[in-house]
Amino acid sequence: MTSSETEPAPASAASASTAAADASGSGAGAAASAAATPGAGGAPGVVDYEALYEQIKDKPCHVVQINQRKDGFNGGTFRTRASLIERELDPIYKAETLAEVHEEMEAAGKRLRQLGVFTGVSMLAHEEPLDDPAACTVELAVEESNWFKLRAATYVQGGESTFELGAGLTNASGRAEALTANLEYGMENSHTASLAFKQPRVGGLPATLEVRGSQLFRNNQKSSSYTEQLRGAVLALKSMDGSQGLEYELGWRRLLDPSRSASRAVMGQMGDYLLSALRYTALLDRRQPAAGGAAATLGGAGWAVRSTTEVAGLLPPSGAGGVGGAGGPSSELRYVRQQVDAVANVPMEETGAVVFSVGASAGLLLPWGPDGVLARPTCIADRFFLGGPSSLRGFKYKGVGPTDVRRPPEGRAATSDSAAPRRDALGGDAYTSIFASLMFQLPHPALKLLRLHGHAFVNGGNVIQLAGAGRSPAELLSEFGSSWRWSCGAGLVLPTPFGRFEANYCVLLSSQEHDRVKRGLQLGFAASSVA
Amino acid sequence: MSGSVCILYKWPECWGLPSLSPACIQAEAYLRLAGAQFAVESCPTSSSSPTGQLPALERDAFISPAEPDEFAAAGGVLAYAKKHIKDLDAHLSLAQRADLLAFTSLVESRLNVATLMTCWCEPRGFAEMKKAAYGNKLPFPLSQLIPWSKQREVRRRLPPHVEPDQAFADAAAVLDALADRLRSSGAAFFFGAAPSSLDALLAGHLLFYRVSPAAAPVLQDKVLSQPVLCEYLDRLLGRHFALPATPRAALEQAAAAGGGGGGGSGSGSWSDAARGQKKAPPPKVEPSAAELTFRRHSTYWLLGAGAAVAAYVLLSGRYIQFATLLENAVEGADDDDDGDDDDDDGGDE
Repeated sequence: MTSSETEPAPASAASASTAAADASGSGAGAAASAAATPGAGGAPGVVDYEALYEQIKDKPCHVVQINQRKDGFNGGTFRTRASLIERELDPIYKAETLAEVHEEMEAAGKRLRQLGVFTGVSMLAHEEPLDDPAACTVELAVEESNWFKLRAATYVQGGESTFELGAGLTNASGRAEALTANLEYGMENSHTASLAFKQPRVGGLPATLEVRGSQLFRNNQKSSSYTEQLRGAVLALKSMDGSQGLEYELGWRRLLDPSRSASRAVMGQMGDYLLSALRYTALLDRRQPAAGGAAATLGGAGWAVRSTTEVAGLLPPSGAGGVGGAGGPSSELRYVRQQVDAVANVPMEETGAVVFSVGASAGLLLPWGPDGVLARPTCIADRFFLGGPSSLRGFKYKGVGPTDVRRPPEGRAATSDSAAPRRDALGGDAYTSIFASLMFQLPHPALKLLRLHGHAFVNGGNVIQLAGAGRSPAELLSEFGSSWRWSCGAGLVLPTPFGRFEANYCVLLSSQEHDRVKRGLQLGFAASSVA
Repeated sequence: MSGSVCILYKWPECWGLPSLSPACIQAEAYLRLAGAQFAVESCPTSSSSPTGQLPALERDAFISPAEPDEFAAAGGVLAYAKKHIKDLDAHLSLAQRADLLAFTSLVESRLNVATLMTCWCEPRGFAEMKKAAYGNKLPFPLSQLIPWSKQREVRRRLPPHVEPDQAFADAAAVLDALADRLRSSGAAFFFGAAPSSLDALLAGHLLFYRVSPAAAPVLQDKVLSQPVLCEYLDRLLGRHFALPATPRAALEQAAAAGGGGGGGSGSGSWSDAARGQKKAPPPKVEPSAAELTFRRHSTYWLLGAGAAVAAYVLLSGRYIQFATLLENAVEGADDDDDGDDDDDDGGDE
């Protein structure tokens, strides 16, 4: 009768008319049988299946049996436990009308796919047993994916080329769990190693449990003269479709400056910190990727909003008083951080070849503690940075925002200015960035196949420091409004799995002193901030 | 001695000592003996110091070099202070310099090892150090993790195959020798009435052994049992450690108060243009060799990728069929030939 995978197949719909005729005998009345005769809605010999379905969908119908056909990967053994599949199929037995059966079958198929262990899930309902017109049988066919995955990738992130190697064991014991190990190595000596364990449908709940332990070393010498080492573990609970997640992270962060040339502001940040943070992420995605056109590279026509809220410093409750003397950083990170990203894509004509896209991002980082809200500066590793092809085109990576002069190298006279003193990017506690672009497909069919698009854009943003600045909120607000940066330009966009690769020619409309600008041609990856 | 002020980063004060780490006491002792003007900054962990190790010295643009070991870091501080602040060994005769070298290497090879062993390898000593240094300053998981990782580092650096009892016996022998030398010379400091760098090095170890609960009992008893050593330490403390050190915050406040109301930073100031100065052209920052190499390699990579894309588009036959183009060109030539033949035929007839 109905297949929950694609639109109803005509062959199976033919039996719908037979079942409808039988169903009418069980008390629906003559109207149904009259409607079931061919020619009721169109040319003779052609059955209007949609109208037929609309009429019989509320008839009583229940599923007596679900036949399962399970295929292992490439003909191997089928590993997934039967109880796992049975649990997802249980609600189908409770359906009482045809429409409910259809809905439950679709929902069960979606849940099975969300487990992430099957490459193909298809269900078909047909009219067996024939003697009971209100009963049907469901055929389920599932095929598993391979239990071992190996992945290697290179990409450019944050001004640094990175090579990533990952290996994973999926569903080795049949409970749909996944164990992955990841290793990333960057050209500037940054490296990350992590081990993660994921269990979908943990305890029967519609949630995925993830436990991840990682060691991260990030080298920020070029932009801010410090290196960060973070060792910790994350415990996460995510919804099955990935739209909401609650995470708790406990880690040891160590900031060091091996170059000994950091500015005073960064020097005061060095040390050991305890990161104990609770993070909630929610994504509301109303974009339709299936619409096609230019909007497909941006995730589809429509809009999407993502919000991340993070509170750090709740646990463990510390009995310790302030450390490091007046004005020094405390060893336990305490802040509240909120970030909102929104994007809207509006196709400008029916073919979808031109799309107008508007995106906005805003973030706020506020420290809290016994001394008051804005007394101490926040940790530089938590702050927001702006600049680069992803956030503010026309400026170098981390090129926008508060800066401080680095320590001059020894042996150089203080008054010599043969080269301008290099500055450290300090980042800020409050930022906003806005991006508006008109993206269009290029006319040549070869370029269309490559999915190369062109775009013209306007990009603006600002980031300021709030905590530890010693100024009143009114002053900070006026500074935020008056020191906005703007740039505009045009370029080419190529979508890749890591984000959009953009080649832009940028013109700066407004910048501030000490911003590191990139005039002319700028190449880079623009990762989408939403999803 | 020049006028700018040094900043000494050290472990906080504890047990009545200027610092809970003997190496930091050594650095501070040298600065006090030299009469330098300095301010101190107490750091909760060694990562909070600008070099990643304590003690550290900062003076204008100079920062003491980063060393893996705290006694090497103290050595770096002393070397800088000797060269740029005051050389305490300038007044020594040649024979005394030879003795200085001998005693200094004795202190470094024997006392350093014994001190590190009692602080980091002895269970009771390590517990005391942990409590004093990290106990009430770091939140719970860090207060165990960080001392443990530091202990591993120190143990890795200790010379291998050194037994604790041998190390402590050697240190006790050195203390006896020092006491005998002090007794026989009878002067205020080791090499006469004026202090030398050896006095700074000794002050670190001896003060620590006398007072700290982390010092091994054998060392503590040895120091207490030699009255000449106790008098020497009392003299040192009385003459040079009487005044507490200026904390850095107080120094900065004084500087700010002295510097006064020069141009309010937040409320805006006149730009250079408003003051009549022409804006200098932005200085050209020369890219470093690594950046040039990176740029060259990325250009090659992009050219190669572009060439691959162009080759695929042209040669794969999916977008432009060369065979068809050639055929069309050939057919066009054939048609011309046929046309000529027809004309000829027509002409013949």
